[in-house]
Amino acid sequence: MKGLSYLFFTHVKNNIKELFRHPARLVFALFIVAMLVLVVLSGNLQSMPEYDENGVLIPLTFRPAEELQAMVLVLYAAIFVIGSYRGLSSGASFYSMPDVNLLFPTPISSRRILLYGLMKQMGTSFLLGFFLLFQYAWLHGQYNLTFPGLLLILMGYALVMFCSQLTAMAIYSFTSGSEVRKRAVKGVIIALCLAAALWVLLPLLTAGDHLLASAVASVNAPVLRCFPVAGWAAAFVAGCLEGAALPLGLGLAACLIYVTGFILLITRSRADFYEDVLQATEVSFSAITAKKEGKVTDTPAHIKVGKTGIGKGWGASVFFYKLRLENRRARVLIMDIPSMIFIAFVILFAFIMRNGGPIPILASSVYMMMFSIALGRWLRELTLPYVYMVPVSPFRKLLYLLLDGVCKLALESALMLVPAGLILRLNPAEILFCVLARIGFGLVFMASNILVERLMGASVNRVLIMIVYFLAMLLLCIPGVVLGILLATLAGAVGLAWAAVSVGLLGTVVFNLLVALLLLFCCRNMLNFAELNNK
Amino acid sequence: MFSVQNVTKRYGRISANKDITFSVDDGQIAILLGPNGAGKSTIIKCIAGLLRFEGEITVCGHSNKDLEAKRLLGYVPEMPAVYDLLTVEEHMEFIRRAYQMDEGREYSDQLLERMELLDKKDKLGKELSKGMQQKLSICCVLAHRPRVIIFDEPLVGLDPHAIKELKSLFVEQKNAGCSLLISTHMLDSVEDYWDVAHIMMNGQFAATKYNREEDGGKALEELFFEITERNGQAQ
Repeated sequence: MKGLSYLFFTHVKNNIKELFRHPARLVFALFIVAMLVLVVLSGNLQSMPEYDENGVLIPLTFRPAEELQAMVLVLYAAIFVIGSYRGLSSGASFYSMPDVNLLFPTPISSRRILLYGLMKQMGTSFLLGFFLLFQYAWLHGQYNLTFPGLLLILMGYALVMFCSQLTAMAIYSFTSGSEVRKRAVKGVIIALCLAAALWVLLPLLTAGDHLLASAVASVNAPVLRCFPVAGWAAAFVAGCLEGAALPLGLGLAACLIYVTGFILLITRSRADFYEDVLQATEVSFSAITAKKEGKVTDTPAHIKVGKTGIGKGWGASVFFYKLRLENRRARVLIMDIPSMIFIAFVILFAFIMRNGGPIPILASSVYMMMFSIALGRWLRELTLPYVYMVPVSPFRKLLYLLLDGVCKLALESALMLVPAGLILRLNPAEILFCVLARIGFGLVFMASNILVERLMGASVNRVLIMIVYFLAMLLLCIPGVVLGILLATLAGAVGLAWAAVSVGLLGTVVFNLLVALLLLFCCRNMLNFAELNNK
Repeated sequence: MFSVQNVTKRYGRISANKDITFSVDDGQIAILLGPNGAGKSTIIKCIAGLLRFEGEITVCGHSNKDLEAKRLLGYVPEMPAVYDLLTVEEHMEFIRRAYQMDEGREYSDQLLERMELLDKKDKLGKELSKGMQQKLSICCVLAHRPRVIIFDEPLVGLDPHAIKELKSLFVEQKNAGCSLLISTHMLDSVEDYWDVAHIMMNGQFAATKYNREEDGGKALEELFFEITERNGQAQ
């Protein structure tokens, strides 16, 4: 065990040392912490006591806690099902490639190596759920969730993630090499999900105007609390939040039995688990390597090639048609998976906040876009030499690359905000301006990307580039937002209150469009002066 | 032909290339040798127009950033440059369209055939092995008939047949009047056909040797080890 504990603690020690050796990483870590503090403070400000003109305390109102419990269960179930499903293809791994190459051949017992992997995985699962903490502001404002309560949800998330990895490993071990077993397990997972979906969806047919209440009641029903791991962890979290001992105890006991059972199963029945984790380790290693090289890989495992040939485009325009072809192969239905998740989230959010007006929905859709724009396929084109070497005007190449991003942005905005607008009962003009406003912000974000590549392309420090990228996006957005608020206030003051939202959004759209065009013009020769040193 | 005049490339305070000057004539094959970190890939990327630098690089008389220079230049990177979601055949179509070539697919099919990729023309980039991706990357560069071709470690990962085929392609391109610059660690693989060899150390040319009988002197391999090991001991 000496070797393993040395490896584990040296890893932790060196990671901390690295922070101080690379100031950019330290700045990034501090930036994340500062953002978190900001989120917590802004969340707490929402629950400050307010008084009316007579000095009487206005009571704070919150949405029902059952909605939050239902959301937690849905999130946990999604994480558990997606994680476990991977066991049917590549399995799951707690290990890195150096572990496989250096640790596995050592004369250390495989059970001890499994224990080491599990300890590492617990830490990773916790870190992966860190994004949940940034949801504090709205969860506190809407559901009066405290920060310790959110930490509890995060703990549950880490537990579910951990169990999903264990399950994936066990599924891989059970099904590898046998198509019959694979089909059987797949059938069980799909049947379980279908049954849960029907349990929630069928009552909606007769729920009339109480769709949300019906869905929440179905999700929180005892039957779904029996959903493996996700239901138990959700029961444990809900029990802790409400101070109910029975769900707390039952949920925790079920999770502990599950984890212990699986560990015993793996160690007793199959001490030689190395083969089971090898493929998953290799898959995650190539993904990490690609990320380090600045490449983003989102190619699905099974691609339907369909009709072959680019068919259109000449000179610069071929980049646009090539990207369209690649997008067609990468998507599942009409969009890729991350976009579909964003669309579903915004529509769901609109459903929950349907009395809050269009601005919170638009703001959340724009906030998510800050991350999704950085995953655009057009940006990946910058990591290969062709776009720099093809003998066409650099500005034309840049415009055709962006055209693909703009098309995707327009489609995504329409699919997201038209249903959301209908749920919010906005008029057609307001829906149109919401869609245009999101496209406007998207253009500013794309232009920020180009600006950062132009200014920072020579830097090999990806962390620094990301910090500058997010700061640039925030700074470039602020003027448009301020202008929109001013115009909306002005419209209200001159008796156009009914059109205030549309006027404000229109102002933001026009301003953002001008900012994006100006930035693009300034960076028009970027592809001639790029630095491909870090790609 | 192409020429590199007083090129210096700095990353912050570190100079990856220091005041490098050389040229490669039409119908000439130049090789770049040197240990890891000597600056070979950096000078190659500068010539390909992928890095900013101080100094001047011209390709057939045009600055390497000009469109005409880009039309005449081909660059095979060390890591295969292949799109995951395009088939082999679509890569070749992409190059024909991007370089606005009116000719049909005969020449690109010939290249694929020579590199044993024609029977894999419907395979996606991501489905190819690393060696096959490298072969496709080479085909993509040769498909637009460049006059100046730069290869960065082209032989790594190739099977013996592909190495043999690539070597004969080098000689064909040379005989057709193209200028070739090849960076490699495999000294024995370039022994038969090089015209001039530059040995790089610490971002500079430590020696230049011509492959002429009248020059005589030490064999390339002997010279390479003498320079690199001497510098290694000095450090």
